[in-house]
Amino acid sequence: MSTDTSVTDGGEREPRLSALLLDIFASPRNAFAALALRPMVLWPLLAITIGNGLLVFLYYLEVDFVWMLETTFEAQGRQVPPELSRGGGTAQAMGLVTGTMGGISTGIFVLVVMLLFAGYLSLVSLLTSDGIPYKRWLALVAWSAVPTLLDTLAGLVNLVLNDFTHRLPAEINVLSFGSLLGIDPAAVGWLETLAHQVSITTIWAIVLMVLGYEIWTGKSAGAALGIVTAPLLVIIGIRIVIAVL
Amino acid sequence: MTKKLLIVIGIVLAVVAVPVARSVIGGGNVKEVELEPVTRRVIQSSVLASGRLTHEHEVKLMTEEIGRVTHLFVEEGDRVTAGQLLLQIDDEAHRAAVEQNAAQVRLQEIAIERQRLRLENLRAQWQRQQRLYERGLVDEDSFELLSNELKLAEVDLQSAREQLQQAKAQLEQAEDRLRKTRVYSPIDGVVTSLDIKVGETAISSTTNLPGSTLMTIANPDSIHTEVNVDEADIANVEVGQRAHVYAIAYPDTPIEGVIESIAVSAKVPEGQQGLSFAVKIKLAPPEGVRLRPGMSCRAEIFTTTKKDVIAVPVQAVLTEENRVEGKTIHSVFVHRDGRARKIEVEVGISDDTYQEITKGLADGDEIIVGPDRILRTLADGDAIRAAASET
Repeated sequence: MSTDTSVTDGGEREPRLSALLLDIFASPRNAFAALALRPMVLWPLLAITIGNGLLVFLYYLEVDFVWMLETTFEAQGRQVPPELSRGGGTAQAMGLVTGTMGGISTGIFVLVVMLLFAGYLSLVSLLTSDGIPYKRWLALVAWSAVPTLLDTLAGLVNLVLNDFTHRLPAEINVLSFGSLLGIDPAAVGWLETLAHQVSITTIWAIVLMVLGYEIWTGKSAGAALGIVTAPLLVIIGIRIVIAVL
Repeated sequence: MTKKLLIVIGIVLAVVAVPVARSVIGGGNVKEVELEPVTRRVIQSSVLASGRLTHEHEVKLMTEEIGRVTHLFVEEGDRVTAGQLLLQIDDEAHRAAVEQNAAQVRLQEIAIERQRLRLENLRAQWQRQQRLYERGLVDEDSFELLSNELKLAEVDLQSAREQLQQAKAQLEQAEDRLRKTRVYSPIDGVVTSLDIKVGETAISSTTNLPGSTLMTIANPDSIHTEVNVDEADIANVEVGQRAHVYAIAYPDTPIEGVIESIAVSAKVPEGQQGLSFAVKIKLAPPEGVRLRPGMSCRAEIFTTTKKDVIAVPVQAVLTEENRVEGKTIHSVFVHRDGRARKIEVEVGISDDTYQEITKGLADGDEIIVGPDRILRTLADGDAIRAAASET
């Protein structure tokens, strides 16, 4: 679908943002082909970082912060500090501060994760000598994660339409497996927590990344899948080991 | 291009539709709660208190005489009877003192006899001299001298008699101290503690000085507990009420008990700050339970028992203070047609887990009992559904 890209003065195809947005959902092969020529990283990184941060901030603006802390303490089997109940006003004010801090830190965290993942793919590039630079890997990671903006969108709609005064953060993302399977949002087991953290769009993003990796490196789908999912599997494995121990 | 746009729009709409559908259908705001039907049960209202086990008949034996222990006739755990010789303190010095004082008594008796004979002799002399004096054969000076000697002899005799009394008293005192070198059991019972050995020196004391106790004898059949009931609860406690006592060594074995007495005045128990009343509970330990004095224990005193009353779990009852009217309002949430309905109730007695409801609920009502995080924020009319695992 060459109609989705423009031609630069030098003859290279300059991918347009709107065209890339459409292609990453409807025709990802075209999107990755265009990104291979001109990696664009700023807009998807900004959108994902700000979107996640905004969602956390809006949640803390709405939630009964004292209730949320009490519920979290109880779910972890810890005693609720008496000063928490007595100092309701102070704790509520803390909610706004925590929301701001949480929004910023969530945004930074998401950004750092994407930068690290791109770094990991660069390291693999060095080992396999495929010659793909860091910026292109960052573009692959950022654009593959664009479908997760659907989580953000659904979460924002959810926050606007439903009363979140007494609901946990795990209930924001209606596309998470935890939400879709009706798992208790207060559950603290590693599997339940993972189910609330992983959504349909997370799988979608991984599939896109595998596809992009396959197209850019010419490796088989199996190899691409193994390389892309290796760090995720390591993280999940560590969590299982910690939970078992 | 249009086709791709339509696909993306379709995806976005599908995603947005999920929270919208939840909001419209109400599923997003339906709270998952634990339900429990109202039941009739027996509720035993109780008061909790803690204390120690002790023997009602218990004596701590001490000596009034300092001395080395020469014989011990019992061992710890031995059963003894009232009047049984238990312990002998070295009595050599005390025996000597008795002998010495007995000799002193005898000497005084001899002295009295001697004085009595002298007095008789002087009286005879005086009578003779009086007759001579009346005839003028003896001068006045000689007669007065003899009269004076007679009076002195009478006084001396009286003095000797008093000295005899003194010597007898000293003898009795020595005999008493000799008797006190032997320690006898004042009651029937068991030697529960033996704090001295042969060869050690028994210290005399009348004020429970540490180390002065020789041994403790108690009647094992008189085991009971003395618990401290908070002054706020004492109004509900009466003599004759049943209690379950849990000794620290048998935390899962309730020991039946009955309240025997309640202290007249409140005291501040050691290690506590508030006032409390000492309540004595007589125990009937079951077979296999060996209670020992000094054991810590806690008691659950059953103050009121009601049978076949409507009761709900205590966590289901919400309490609010109406400070304007100065009263406490109790309420529960009842499940009615998929909604939570807040019902004001009147409460009666309660135990650890259930609260009696005297007004406001009927048999068959289904009430919300949890989870606590939802119950705390539940409002009248909220949509609810039963949690699968709890129903």
